Parts: sequence; structure tokens; C-alpha cells
Amino acid sequence: MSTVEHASAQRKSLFTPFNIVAAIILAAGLVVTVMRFTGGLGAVTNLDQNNPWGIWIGFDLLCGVALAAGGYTTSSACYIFGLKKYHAGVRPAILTAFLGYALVVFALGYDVGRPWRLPYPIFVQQGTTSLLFEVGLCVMIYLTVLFIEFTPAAFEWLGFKKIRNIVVKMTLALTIFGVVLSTLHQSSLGALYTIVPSKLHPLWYSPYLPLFFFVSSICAGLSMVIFEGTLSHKPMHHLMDKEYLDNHDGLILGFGKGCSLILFGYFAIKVIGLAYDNNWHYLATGYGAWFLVEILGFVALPSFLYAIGARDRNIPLIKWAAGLTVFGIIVNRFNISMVAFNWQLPSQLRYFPSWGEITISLFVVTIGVLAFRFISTRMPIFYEHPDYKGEH
Amino acid sequence: MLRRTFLGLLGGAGALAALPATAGAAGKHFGPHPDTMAVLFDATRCIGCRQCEKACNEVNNLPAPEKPFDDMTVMDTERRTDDKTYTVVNKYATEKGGVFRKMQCNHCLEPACASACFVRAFKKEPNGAVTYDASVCVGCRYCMVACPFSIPAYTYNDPITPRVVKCTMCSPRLAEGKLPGCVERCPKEALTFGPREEIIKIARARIDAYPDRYQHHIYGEHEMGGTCWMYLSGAPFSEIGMREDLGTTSAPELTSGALAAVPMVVGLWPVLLGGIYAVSKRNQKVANAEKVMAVKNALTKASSEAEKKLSEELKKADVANKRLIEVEVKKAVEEALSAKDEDAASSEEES
Amino acid sequence: MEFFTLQDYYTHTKGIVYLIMGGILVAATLYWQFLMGGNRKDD
Repeated sequence: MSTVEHASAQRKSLFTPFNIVAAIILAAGLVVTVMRFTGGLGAVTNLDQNNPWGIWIGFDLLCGVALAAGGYTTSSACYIFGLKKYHAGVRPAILTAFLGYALVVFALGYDVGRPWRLPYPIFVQQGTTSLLFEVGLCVMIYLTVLFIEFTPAAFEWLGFKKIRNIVVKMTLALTIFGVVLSTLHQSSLGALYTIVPSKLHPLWYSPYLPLFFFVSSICAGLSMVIFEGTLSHKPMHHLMDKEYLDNHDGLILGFGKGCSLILFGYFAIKVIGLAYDNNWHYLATGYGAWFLVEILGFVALPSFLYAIGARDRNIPLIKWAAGLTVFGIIVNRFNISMVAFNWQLPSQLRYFPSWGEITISLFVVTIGVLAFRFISTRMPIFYEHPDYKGEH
Repeated sequence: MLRRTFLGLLGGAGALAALPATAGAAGKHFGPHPDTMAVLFDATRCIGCRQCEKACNEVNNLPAPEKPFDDMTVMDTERRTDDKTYTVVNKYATEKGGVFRKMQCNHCLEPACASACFVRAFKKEPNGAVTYDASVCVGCRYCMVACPFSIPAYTYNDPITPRVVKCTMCSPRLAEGKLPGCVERCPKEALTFGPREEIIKIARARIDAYPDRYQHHIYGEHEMGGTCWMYLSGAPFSEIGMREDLGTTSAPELTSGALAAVPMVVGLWPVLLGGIYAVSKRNQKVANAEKVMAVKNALTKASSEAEKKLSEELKKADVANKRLIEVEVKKAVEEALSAKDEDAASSEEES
Repeated sequence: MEFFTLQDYYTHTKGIVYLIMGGILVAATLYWQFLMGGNRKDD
């Protein structure tokens, strides 16, 4: 069949530009990996005594978790809110989320000093007052939930009918657990910073930080589903079945509309946060200008673009708005973890990522893309397995 | 439509959950342990001899510094505690001239590092010291992020056994009945060790005795919920590198609101989401049933209409038939009559 | 049990709350099945 033909064609053209770039990044990543685990964090990072967290936390953890929110938003839209027409979008979203979280944990293995002790907070000694304990516990359980949610695709591929049907029966419970756990750890990532009012710039510090992180994670999740659907549309088109393709525009319109509304709410609570702490006067400073760029350019603007796109049924505009939202979420997480963090320090003591840190971050993203390609070209992700058609 | 409304609801419910920002200990008070010891640093007495740094290095078996302790040029740049140093003395140019100030872990009454640590590697001892246990430390460095005084340091260049480094208030020496290394060595009595309550009394007495010499503030009495290391200074504290904007709210209080919201989500989210699921399923069922009914009604309506039409057609056909017969009969009669007339006429002509 | 710091007090209470949270998740699943599993004539 056509998939088989394509697979063999792919094998022939192994030296595509994408594959070559990926191979270079993987090779560089392996080199830095060896340096990291033989020379310590100091050998490859720009971290220092004042700046203990760099892009491995700011990008790999904070952005990684936020951008993997597509899993719980899509599955809850379909299975809890009863929007069955989005069903075809659930599997790609779950797979992205699972890979996203797996890679977050993988990247933490580079960042923490003794990664082999990562299970300690849960199994050895529980620091229950730490928000990071909350994050760790939720991420661990949620990774398991996502794995179980993903397994039906693998079981269909392998032909394990019985166990596949058992897992499918647990869909509702798994989805609800997923939303509970996501709500908790998405918000707790923001709450990590509630302990440092003295180090985080007042425009970004707020007692509402957990809520900001949670609400923006929904926007990130919805936008990421649109954005990623756009990216995988061309290379994966031959794998997509009629249901996926027929519903794709509907999904983009629906998610775009939803995201527009939630971004409106996110903008509103950001302004409320500003008023709650009476931070208006900071708006006239340099940090204030950057804050305005963030909430006007990366929150209000995409919300409006989404709305126009949804009204005019302008799919390309919605896709652009999705890209802008995703970028905006990354800007926000970078601001909180790096730009506005330690703002009281003189500029020569501030942090800037090293090449080693950037390489590892690219390395992790590349592994994610390759794993997604590997799985989605083999398992029923973009199409329904013929044995289980129309069964939802 | 449904999903948007409900996702909005989610956000709203989250806001509600985040509300009890000070749910904390509900009026309970947790005083420091009665055995809590403290140290007072008096910046007006410190001469910047770095003997405390040297003593600290010796009693804690820390690696030798790059420049010896009698080299005073290191004070030209502001230093901080790092992975080889528990304490440093810095020199600050102030309105009252050059002032020296010692820096080390302040041993908070409610330590931010302990509150932030997810393996409880930090412990507030009854004697006041905040100690660190490297045997459970994962190395996440959240303690360093959380510390408002930026004290904990990390051995970044150790690939196998990296750990957090900070002053222990010489807890092992205190257990032996000795003074902390730096306090013991100080030649000018700039450091005073004693029970925390006594130390506060001493500090207050000094301010009262020399109100012109001191700032009327004991730094650390209330900062971040209070510390075991407290400071007196002649120059404003902000001029000797100490932050005056930290506030008196302790670290566990800062995170208590967020922590209080967590169990509420677990308790109420399944209810809310399960409810939404049930409602949307019910709506779907009703909608489906309505659809079925509508189809059925349409069918019955269509069939009854067809029947009506048929009978009407039949009736019409009946009428038409009758008329046809009538017409035929009429025609026949007329024909018969005209034949009769013609016969009569022809017979008249014939006769 | 006597606590000398808010930190120790929270460690204790949050520890119990975390255990209760686990219990709630299990209980909610079971209770849902109980609630939805009755007479199926009219659900």
C-alpha cells in the first residue's frame, strides 16, 4: 500500500536537509552530554551562585510543560465536554504531550546535580511544603497517565485487542485525572516563584502567579495543537485519514475561537494582577515597556487575530495567531525565569545561556521531533486503525 | 460554544481556589524554639581583619582560598559566599565612611531553603542552626532560588557528588559547647553569641545607649519572619549591601496560599469535570432522542399526507369517472334523440 | 505533637493532606461508578 511505498521512499532519501541538521544536533548534543556528566554542571553551563536556574529550567521545564498542555486540553474537549468532532485531534495531542513530558524529565536529568536521585522526593523523604514537590509528584503521575492514554495506539499497532479495549474503557477516568494533575502542576510551576518576591520583578511577581500559569497553559495547549497540526500536515499528509482531514479545519476554527476567549481572560487577569499590587508606576520603566510588549503583543494581539480569523473563517490567520501565542508563552516563561529574575543584580552578574546549554535544549527538542515522526509513521496516530473504525 | 463556556468556568474556579492567600496556620503562632541561639554582628565594631573568614575556613576544613586571608585587596570588589566559603566580609563606602559587613547564612527562623526543598534536606535545629543533609540532596538548587539573602552556593564543578554549601552556624561545635568559629576568633567583639532573646536585648541596649551611633533598627529581628543572625549598623543598611525591602513575611507564609489551593483542586475538579461530562452526555442523549423523534414525526406526517393525497386523488378520479359516464350517457341519449329526429324528418320528406 | 516552626507544622499537615488527596482520587473513581451504576432505566 501507499504507506509502505512511502516508507521505502523515505529509507532511500535518508539524507534530507532535515535529517542532516538533526544528525548534527544529535552529535553535538552527545558531546555536550559527555562533558556535562564528566565535568559537572560548571563545565557546560553559565550557571553561577547567583543564577542557579538557566534555560534548562526556563525553556526545557517551564516551556516544555506549558507547550505539552495540548494533551489535557484536547482530550478534555473531546471526552469531557463532549465535542466528539475533535476526536481525530486527540491522538496527535496525547502523543505530543507524552513525548513532551518524557523529554522534560529527560532534560531534568541534565539540570539537577544528581539525576539518579530524582525519585528521592517521592520515595525517600517528602518535602511537602515545597511547590517543587507538588510539581515533581504531579509530573511523575501525569507522565504515567499520558503513557496509559497513549498505549491504545501502540496496542492497535501490535494487535493486542483485549488490553487495548480495557485501556479504552478507562478513558474518562484518565482524562479527568489528566486535567486534575495538569491544573496542579501547571499552576505550581508558577507558584514556584511565589517564594521570591524579592528577586522577581514586581511586574511579573504576583500572588496570582499559579493562576497565570494555569490559564496561559490552556492557551499554549490549544495553540500548540493548531501550530503542530500545521507543521505535521505536509510531511504526514499521506498518513492522515478522511476523518482527520475532514475535521481539521473545524478543529482549527473551534480551537482558535476558544483560545481567543481564554487569551482575553488571561489578559484580563494580568491587568488585575497589575492593579492588585499597584504596579502601574513600573510601566514607565524599561521593564514596563517589555511587560507591555508581552501582554499587548503576545496576549492581546493573538487573541484579536484569533477572533478575526474565527469570524472570517480565515484558517491561515488562525495559524499565524497560534504561532504568535506559542512564541508569547515562551517569552512569558523566559521573562519569569530569567529576564525578570534577579533583576536587582547589576548587569555583569546576570545570566546568559552558554552554547552548551543551548545545544542540550536543541538536542532535547530534536529527540522529541524524531520520536514523534518515528511513532506517528508507524502507529495509528493520524488515522483510525481499520479494526476500530468509528468506535468512539 | 459549550467547551468555551466551560473552559472559562475552569479559569473562574481556579481563581476561587487561589483566593485563600493567607489560609496558613489560622491564628496559630509558632515561636522559635526556646533553645534558639543567635549572633549579633555590630558593623560599628568590625575592622575588616578577615580573622572570622580564616577561622571559618579552618574549623570547617574548607579548601584554601586563592589569596591568603591577610590579603586585604580582595575587599576591593564585593564578594559573596560560594562553594568554598561560608562567610565573607565586604567593605562598603557609606555616608559614615568605609564600613565592613560580614555575610553568611542568617539562619532564618522560618528558612526559605527548608520551605523550598522537596527532599527536606534542610532542617531548623532546636539550637537555631539551619543544617543541610547532602545525603538526600537531588541538586535542584531551588533553595538557592528561594533564599532571599542569596546565601547557599553549589559545587557546580563536581560531576558525581555536587552539593549545596552554606554556613552551619557551627552546629557541631555548638553541640560540644563551643562557640561558632568566627565568633570565637573575632578580636573586636563585633560578634556576640547568645540566646536569641538575650541577643535582641543586648542589641536594643546598645541602640539606647548610643542612639547617635546606630541605626534604630535591628536587622534580622523581623526580616523574612526573623533570623538568628542579626545586625547593627551606623550606616543605613541599604548602604552596606543589605536589602531593606524584604518585608517580614516568612517564606512558608508566601507559598501557603498556593499550597492551600492544591487539595481544593483535587477535591473539586473531579466533581466539576464529572458533572460537566454527565451534563454534556445527557444533552447529547436528549439531542439524539429529539433527532429520532423528529425523524419519526416527519415520517408519520409524510405518510399521513400521502394517504390523504391518495384518497383525494381517488375521490377526484371518482368524480371524473362519474362525470365521464354522465357525459357518455348524455352523448348517447343525444345521439339517440337526434337519430329519431332525423328519422322523422326523412320520413316526412319521404311522405 | 509540638511544633516550633511554621515550616515543621506545614510539613506535617501537608503530608497528611497529600495522603488524603490520594484517597480522594481513588474514592472519587469508586463513588462515580457507584453513582452511575444503578438502575439503568433512566440515567
